[in-house]
Amino acid sequence: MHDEDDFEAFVAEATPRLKRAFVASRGVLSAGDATAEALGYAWEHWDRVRAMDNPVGYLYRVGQSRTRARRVGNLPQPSALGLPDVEPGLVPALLDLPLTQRTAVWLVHGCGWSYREVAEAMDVSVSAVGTHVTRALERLRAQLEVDARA
Amino acid sequence: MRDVADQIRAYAEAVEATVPDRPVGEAVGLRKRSRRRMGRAVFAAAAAIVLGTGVLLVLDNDHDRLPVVSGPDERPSPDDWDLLPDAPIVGRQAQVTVATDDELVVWGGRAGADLADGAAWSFDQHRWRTIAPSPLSARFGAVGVWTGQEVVIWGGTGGNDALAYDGAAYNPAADRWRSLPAVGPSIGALDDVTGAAWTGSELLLTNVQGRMNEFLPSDTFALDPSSGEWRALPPKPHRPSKSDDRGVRGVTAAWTGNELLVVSITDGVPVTIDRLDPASEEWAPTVSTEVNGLQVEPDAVVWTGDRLVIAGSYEPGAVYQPGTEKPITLEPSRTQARYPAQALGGTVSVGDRILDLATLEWSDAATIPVEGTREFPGTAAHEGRLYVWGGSGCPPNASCIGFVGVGPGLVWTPPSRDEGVASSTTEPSGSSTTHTTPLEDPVAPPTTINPEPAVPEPLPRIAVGQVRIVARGSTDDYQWQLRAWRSQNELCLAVQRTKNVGDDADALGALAGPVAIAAGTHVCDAVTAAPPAITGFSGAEPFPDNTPGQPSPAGETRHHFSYGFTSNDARLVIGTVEGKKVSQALPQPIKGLNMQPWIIEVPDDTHYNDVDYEALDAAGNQLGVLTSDTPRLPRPTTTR
Repeated sequence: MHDEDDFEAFVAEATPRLKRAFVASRGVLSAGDATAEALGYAWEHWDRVRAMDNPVGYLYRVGQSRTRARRVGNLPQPSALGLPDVEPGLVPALLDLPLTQRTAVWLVHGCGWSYREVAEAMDVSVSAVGTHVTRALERLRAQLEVDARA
Repeated sequence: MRDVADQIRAYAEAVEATVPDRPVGEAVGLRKRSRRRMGRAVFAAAAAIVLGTGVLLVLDNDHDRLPVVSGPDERPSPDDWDLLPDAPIVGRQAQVTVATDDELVVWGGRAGADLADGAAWSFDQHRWRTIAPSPLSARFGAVGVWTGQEVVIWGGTGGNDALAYDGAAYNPAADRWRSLPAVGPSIGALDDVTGAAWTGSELLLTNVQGRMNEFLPSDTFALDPSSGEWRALPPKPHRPSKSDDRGVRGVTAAWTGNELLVVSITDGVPVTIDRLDPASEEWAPTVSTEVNGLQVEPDAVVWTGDRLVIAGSYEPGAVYQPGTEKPITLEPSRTQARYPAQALGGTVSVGDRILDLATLEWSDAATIPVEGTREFPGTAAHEGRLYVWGGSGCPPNASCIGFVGVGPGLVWTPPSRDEGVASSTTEPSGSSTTHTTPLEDPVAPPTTINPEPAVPEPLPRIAVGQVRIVARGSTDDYQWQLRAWRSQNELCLAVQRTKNVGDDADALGALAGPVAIAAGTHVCDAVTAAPPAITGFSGAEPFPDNTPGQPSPAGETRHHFSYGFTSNDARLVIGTVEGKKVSQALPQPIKGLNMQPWIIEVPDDTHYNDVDYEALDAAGNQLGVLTSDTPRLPRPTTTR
């Protein structure tokens, strides 16, 4: 398989994961930019990136560092996405979280990444990820008055 | 209720689809190291990989510093150039380049050898596709027109430089070709066709040389593509004399809506204009310009919707309005690019220079991202944007061996008609405000329409170039939606009553008296003595139906540049705030109205001050008139 074929297959797989991952920290509008930046880096360093165990996690860090963090204010309301079962208050509650907590809970529960993958992406320990996620969920539940056992 | 974690998951899955795609190419370093490693061929292959995710991976070789038109959300910036991704066909010159409603279609041409393949660029999807194989032989220099359903291609040169006498029609929706009937015994009459125009029902073709001998029926024919029937029209009254034959370089044709204009360009003699009414089959007397045929290219001629522009590069050109006696001399464009002229709303572009049709002045466009020479590309206009594709990379006066290709296609977005030319000034209050000079209707002192003193402008300064209407009356009983747009020769104003009382004529009648219309000025400020502040100009939501709808009665593309709303405070304002909806604080949503636009036609051969604005419905019935007592747009300072 040629380089470009490999890379195309990788982009197809990584793009949706990266786009979703960046939403929490960059917002909807900038998530595409961050994804493009990350994939651009991957193309430039394809020999290295392709050999990684968790290239998406690594590229997440690349995208984070290559795009300017802006105030995330453009997350659509759940109703606009046709999600009647999602609390309208979820978005402001998410945005209210500290960035580390928001990122951790988003990557774990929103993106389905493992704790280890998130730890690599955030450059923290696995246990730290667990702490961030736990605290984030507690805070969200409190804010939304959701019973975790429901 | 679902747990928060579940809600996050559901929300994340849904929100992912709303993340816009961005071109990777402009983010990719891709610079020299990568080029060395992968080589040009690999990059060409990777230049436009459309992935299933919707990401268009644009990895462009020599142009990675420029924005590349990519995902559906990409919108080129005003007065700026963007690159098209590489097409799936080889670069070429002298191809047919036609804008359909949805695509830029390029076909044929020459790149060392004559070519018979083509491709189409989707304006909306931002993707290239190859088009079905054509029944036509390989050729270059064919003419092509868009009929609304098919791209009709005729003539050209191919196969040992032999002229082609056949044509075909390509249906882009079906991706299918069909051959057109031959001209029959008149075949020699269509020798070297370079003039083609679509009337709405017929394809009109006219050749370069004129009727070469008396045995040929004509030099101008009409083909009905649906029936396949040809008819010979009277031959052009003007044909070059024998002494001019050495320099005949081409004819360009244009359809005005009721006449065929044929511009004949012959070296060393004045460019001439002939007009044919295909219904009566009568030619009007030939109009001669002062443009030396040596100084103008056939593709520098363009119909703008109300007049013909002949854009001279370094010598004067001409502007001709059918029905007038004599063309107006036009300053040289001084273009370096010399791209085929295209009409873009109120302007004409030749690539690096723009002609403002209101002032007839040329100005610089944004610098073309030149990657070297681009001679004789194909151009097309679509929704106010210029598309450039193909051309030769062989510099002028150079001897090139074989075909020298050029870079990818380009898209140029003109300056916003609302923005005009920006300049910054400081308000007396000390606040810095950007004012813009409208590209049309040069700024003139506001007209005062009653003796009441002017009042400070209480509104936020919305984009300049707007048409503003201030109305007095029982506006508690009315709410109107206003639409205004400018087509090539019309100022279009649409009014829709959205609430209560009276009929539409009343609505316009309410406007007709105390209404002032201005472009780019605050002429209306004096209308009301103490206008209450209008509320809710904070919105930033794109107006949902701010897209070109049905064509104007003249069949031209609408260029929506403003919208407006009422509130119950006796003011009607239409305008654009950076292309956004100007108000969200409406008493009721104004969406999805099936309104019948009223069109205020501004005859181009008159000044705004000289005419009554007549509001017509689509059937041409008069709905109302803004009388000459109504203050008008500032009189243009230029000759029309």
